[in-house]
Amino acid sequence: MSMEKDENNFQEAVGRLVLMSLTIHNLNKVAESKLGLSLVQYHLLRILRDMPGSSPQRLAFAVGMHPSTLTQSMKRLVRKDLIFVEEDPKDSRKKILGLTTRGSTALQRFEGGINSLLKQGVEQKQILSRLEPIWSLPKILTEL
Amino acid sequence: MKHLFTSTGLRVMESLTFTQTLYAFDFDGTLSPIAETPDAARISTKTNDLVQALSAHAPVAVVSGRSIADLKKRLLYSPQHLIGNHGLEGLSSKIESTTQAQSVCEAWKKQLGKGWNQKFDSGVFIEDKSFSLALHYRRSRNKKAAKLGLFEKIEKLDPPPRVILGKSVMNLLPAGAPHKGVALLELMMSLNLKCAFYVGDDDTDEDVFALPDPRIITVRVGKKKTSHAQYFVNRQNEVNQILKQIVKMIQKCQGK
Repeated sequence: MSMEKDENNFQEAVGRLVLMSLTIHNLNKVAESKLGLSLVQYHLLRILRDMPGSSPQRLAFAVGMHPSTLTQSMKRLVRKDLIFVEEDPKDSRKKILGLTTRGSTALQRFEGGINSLLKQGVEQKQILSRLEPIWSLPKILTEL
Repeated sequence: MKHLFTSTGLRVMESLTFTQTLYAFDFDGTLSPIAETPDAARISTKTNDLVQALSAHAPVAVVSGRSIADLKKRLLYSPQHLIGNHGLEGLSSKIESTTQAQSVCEAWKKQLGKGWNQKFDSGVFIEDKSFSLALHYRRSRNKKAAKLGLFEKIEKLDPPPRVILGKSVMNLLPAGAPHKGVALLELMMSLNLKCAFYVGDDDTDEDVFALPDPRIITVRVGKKKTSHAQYFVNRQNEVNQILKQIVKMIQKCQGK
């Protein structure tokens, strides 16, 4: 009986996690298409705004990301001309990062519009949970 | 060390305008050209106007070895934040230490005065800045001998001072007194600012340049290989260009 209860709790927890992940994924997509930045990109730019000229390692530490994960995100932001990468003035083997004017504008735009998107996200989540009970998700997953 | 007006320097300067930044400057050799005597140093009207223009947009500080009273006489426009005596004056937390510093400086002055005229020519003199002393030898007929003589004198001082060498000047500060780096950090904290941009020219400014804090962008007036500053400009008259550039960038950022 107890084992069965544990299993149900586990399945419910996984279901919640999946739902949360889907909501975030959806919010990310909407944010990127409507506001020009994903949540991660926004987070990176916001931290970098207050740390101009910092090294990629320092930024990775500040955002709590592994430096190799950060490299990919950085490349995308450089391609969009939202940040710059330059040589460290003290050591040409190292790099420094900073926000560009475009990056600063993108941040402001994002900050101005994210609240309404988050509201929509919450509503979406509420609708979802009514339509499809959380416990059904793990069931679907196990069947898969 | 890179020239400030390169692509890297300009981009970093611009990125500072997107956040809350403190713009801080040394006085002698930075905002004002180096003069023959400390009393002859003056800020030009143009530099003064640019400092004033910058102050209208962002917090500005002058961090100097001079006393605040002396700085006020020399600045036509006084920015919001003045830090004197290498950080001993101008910060609220330093009130107690200034009283102690004053009595230490008085004792040093007495000790240095003994046999001064026999040892040095009239080009070597003591500048009393109340909370620190500056021993100048720029106008000495024999600078090398004057420098050595001053070291001999300093060696015998009780209590022993902290010596900061400058351009033909030796600054004596009570041991444990703050330096420009500590003062700048404290000002940043008290104003709740994220970053700082500091321009200086002297060895006393190395205390700021050497801070292991990437939030502080440093510029030295005059290139020096051993300096810890990140950027440099060649001459003091380029400081006006820096000020102009910052104002322009801030105005662009604010959409004016």
